[in-house]
Amino acid sequence: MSEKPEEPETLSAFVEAHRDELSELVAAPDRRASCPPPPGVEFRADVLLSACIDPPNG
Amino acid sequence: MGELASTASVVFLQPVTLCNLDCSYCYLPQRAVFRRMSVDVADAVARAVSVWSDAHPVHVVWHGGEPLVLGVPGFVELLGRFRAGLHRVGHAVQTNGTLIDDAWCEVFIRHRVGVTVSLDGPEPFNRDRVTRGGGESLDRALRGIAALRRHHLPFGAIAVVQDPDPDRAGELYDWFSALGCHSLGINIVERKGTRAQASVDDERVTAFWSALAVHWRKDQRLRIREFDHALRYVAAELDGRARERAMAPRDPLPMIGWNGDVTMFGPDLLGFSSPRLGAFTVGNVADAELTEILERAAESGWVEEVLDGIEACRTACDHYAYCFGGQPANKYFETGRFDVTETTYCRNSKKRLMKGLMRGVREARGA
Ligand code: SF4
Repeated sequence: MSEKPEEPETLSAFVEAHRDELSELVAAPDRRASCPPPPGVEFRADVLLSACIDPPNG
Repeated sequence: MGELASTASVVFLQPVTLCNLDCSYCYLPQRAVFRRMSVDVADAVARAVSVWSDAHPVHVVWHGGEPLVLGVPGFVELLGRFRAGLHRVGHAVQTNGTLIDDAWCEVFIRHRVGVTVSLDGPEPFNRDRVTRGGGESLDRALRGIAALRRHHLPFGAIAVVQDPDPDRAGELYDWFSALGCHSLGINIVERKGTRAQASVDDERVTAFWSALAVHWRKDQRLRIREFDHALRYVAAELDGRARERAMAPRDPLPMIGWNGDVTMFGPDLLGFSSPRLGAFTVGNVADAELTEILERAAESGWVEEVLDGIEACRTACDHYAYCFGGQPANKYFETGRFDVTETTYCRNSKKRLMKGLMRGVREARGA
């Protein structure tokens, strides 16, 4: 039985080590059901996400 | 290091201090008294926001207390003071949902106000969100959400998770999906403000995030705010932009209290002070323009200590490019200092989250 390779120690090395599968993950289409906006109103998803206290500082 | 941007892309306001609920984990110090923001304070904030929006979009988040306690006329009066510059000024309310009715929905539509409802899930998840008389609040919040849905208003939800039970993560996900919200933010219970209770701090949290990620990957009806954050970092790391992104000046995230007091780094520090550092304010909009207040903020001792804490994280932590140095409020309320690095909050909501997400997506994929 082969030994399981050790996971990289830092986060950036982990991302690099799993580049292929993570690229696929971040490129995955957004399949969430869309909620229709009210007539005559355009809601921007980015604004709404900011409304969820989604500050730019991570 | 630790540079602060001179303008803000998100501004939090406290139009009113009172909340009609009395959640057991709430950290807001003045939530039992009614103090409301004056038009003069709103005007002072609106002047700065209008100037900033010449450079970039600005989002104004009406926080609280419970902002809808103000009533429709009072809220519209304050909101009406804001004017956009060259870019959009977007508005959003962070509400417990219990006061939303058709009249509020019409306000949200007319003024294009985004809505995020704080709600913890089906009973017993929601049992800490009680009325002032100690009664349950879920039915009232669901009535408010029914009104949002009648008016086809998209809304987000934020849930506090007291017990991150991996076996119930799927149930929570499915319940919020069925509720019809477009995104869900998850706050693992924290030690913050007036709430002294300790948080859970063990590997169950990783297992919870992992179980949630498995559900999310298989379904994806619902966005998970924390996974969005994590994946934005992953995308930046893959593109080689992560370092540069992490070095960008930090958004000051000002929070303006009902009386014009200004604090920074989000809403959590408003109304608090420390014997060592004094009040966690950087000024009052009655005394100076908000832009000037923010430009001078780094001279305040407590802000300096916050920036030292961010720098310490940058030096010490391999998660910095994802986390940007954590939440100052959590650092302070957990340790009594801002110039520290790891906290229970960051272990649960950054490190274990990332680990759980990665584990979950691989599991969902059958890796
Ligand atoms: S994960 Fe914790 S220690 Fe690391 S940067 Fe964030 S707050 Fe600092």
